[in-house]
Amino acid sequence: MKKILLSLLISVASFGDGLIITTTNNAASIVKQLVGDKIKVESLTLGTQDPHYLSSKPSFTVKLSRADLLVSIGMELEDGWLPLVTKGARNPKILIGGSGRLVLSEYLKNPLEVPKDLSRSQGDVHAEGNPHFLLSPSRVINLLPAISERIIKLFPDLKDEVQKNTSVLNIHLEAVLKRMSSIRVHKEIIMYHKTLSYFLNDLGINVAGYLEPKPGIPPSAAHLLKIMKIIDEKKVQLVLVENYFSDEVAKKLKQKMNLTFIHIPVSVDGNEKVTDIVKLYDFLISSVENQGIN
Amino acid sequence: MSRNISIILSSILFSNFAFAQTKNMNPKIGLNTIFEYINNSKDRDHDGFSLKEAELQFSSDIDVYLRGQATIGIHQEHEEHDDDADEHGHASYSVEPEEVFVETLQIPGVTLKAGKFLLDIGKHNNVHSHALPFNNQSKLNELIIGDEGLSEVGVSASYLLPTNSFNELSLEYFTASNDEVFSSEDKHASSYLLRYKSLFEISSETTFDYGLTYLSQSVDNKTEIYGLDFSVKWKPLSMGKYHSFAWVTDILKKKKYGSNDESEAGVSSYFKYQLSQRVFAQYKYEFLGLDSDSSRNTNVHTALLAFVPSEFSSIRFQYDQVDERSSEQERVFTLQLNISMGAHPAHAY
Repeated sequence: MKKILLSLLISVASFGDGLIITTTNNAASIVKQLVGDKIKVESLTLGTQDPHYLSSKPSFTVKLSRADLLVSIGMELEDGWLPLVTKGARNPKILIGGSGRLVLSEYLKNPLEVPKDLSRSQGDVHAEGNPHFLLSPSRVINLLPAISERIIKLFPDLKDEVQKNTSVLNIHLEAVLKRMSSIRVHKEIIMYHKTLSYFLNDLGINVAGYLEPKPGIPPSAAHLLKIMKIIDEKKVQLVLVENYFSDEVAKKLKQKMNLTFIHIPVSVDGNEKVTDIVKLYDFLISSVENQGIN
Repeated sequence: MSRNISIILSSILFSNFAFAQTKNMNPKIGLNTIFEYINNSKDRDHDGFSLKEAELQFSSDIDVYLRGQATIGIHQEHEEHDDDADEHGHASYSVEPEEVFVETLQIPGVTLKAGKFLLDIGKHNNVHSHALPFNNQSKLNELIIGDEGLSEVGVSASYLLPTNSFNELSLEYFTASNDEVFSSEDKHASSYLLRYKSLFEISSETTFDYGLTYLSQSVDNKTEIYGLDFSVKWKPLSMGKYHSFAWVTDILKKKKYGSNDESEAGVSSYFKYQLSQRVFAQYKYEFLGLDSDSSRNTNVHTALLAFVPSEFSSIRFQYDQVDERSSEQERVFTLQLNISMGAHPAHAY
């Protein structure tokens, strides 16, 4: 018994080197670039997983029980699994309002797609608006002060490091924005889900239609006929399907119509090329650049 | 009774549902409802359509220190209250607080709970009806615990061990009031339950977990319950929205001491495979009679096909075949519509 207690005490003592948990890989990439290798940063969602529908695995509670900071997105993105995990973690710091909880959407200005009438007949709508704002580099630039400020508050020794890294990331993101303003894009595309709304909005691209009839509802044959009509009418050349959705429907569309289809990562580590948030933006920009431009 | 229930329901639904998803201090409110059609080859008393159950769930942070949760069940009554049903000419319902408890928020590593709550026995006793993996409670749970689930008033403490994998130890201390399960010799005698749960991540896609349960009373003619459960779950990292698999097994034993010692035990094991985004196929085998002579053995085979349009509704077709040695085979077909309105808290893993 004494040995068991001793080993437990040793394992308790070994925690506390600093641990930041994020709910998504995109948030993890941003935080990693700010703290460098000084603090361990882990995401609960992996690159090819849909953050709406993660399982509330008990192993997450173990990670969160040791976390100094939990960075979540908010706007109901994680409502299906995160509350159960934070409750099970028994770590008061990371509860809503705690010193170790940062909900990024609280610092977001002018969210997109806030529904006027809230009803589940519209599918999986988010009452506070579209939660995929980290896919917009301009929005991330606006969020960086809040993120770095919270990290510095919890880890004051890292102040100089975090401030320096924040400036570096800012420069990279400004370069991404410059590239976005210089590329030529076709103004109409088809998407599967409303994941890239902020990114496409920054580029002035309109989504002519979604393969999902409503958020969370898989495509039906009747809906696809409508989409094919839209593709014809608006001369759409590009279909993007987030790579946590099946690409079967888009492949069928490609067989029937003259289209480019990309099964696209929307999260860091969503494929082997997008290993950080800046590389993810570069991949997204390359995916829409010059597509459908004659 | 039915009129009172409808007044309660309508006042709650119309006053609060409109605000359920907005940022305010109202509790989160949800209503889970189960409609069923049953066709039973042996017992035709419950055949036909019925509103099986409605569960009202409320949850909210109470203050800085406590969180509260209440689940009020409205169940269709059978057998004992047929007089009431005859008087009104339709089915009769009873209202019961399934769970009403508070739990702590601010104690690192530990959660303390007080109130009326479902005891943490095996895989399914603390799962509410709408979240059960099959259309009804397992025959094993019905045999050992009863079909309504065992909910008692008491206190509990659960501790998340500071280890690299998930290990949780719980102690529940309660007053045993359920006469079907417990000895009624002395209801003030202490009754307690010990539960240990552990989970390992075999990979990012696969987990293995197991749990041990021991329940006992401090009286001579006591009831003891022993439990062992385990499960393997798989969900691929890529396209995990479309395919998943689970194998879940429960083994329970109940021993009642007294002038005639009684012992009952069984095993319940099921597979669940996700065929597509919205379709699931399941099979369950149960054997009741691990602790009795072969003349009382019961074998149960259950197959289920579920269509789940969204996380707020499901339609499930279930076929049960019950083989008891001492009587004719029972075949039951159940069609269930399960819906949730308002807030729908996350389900446990």
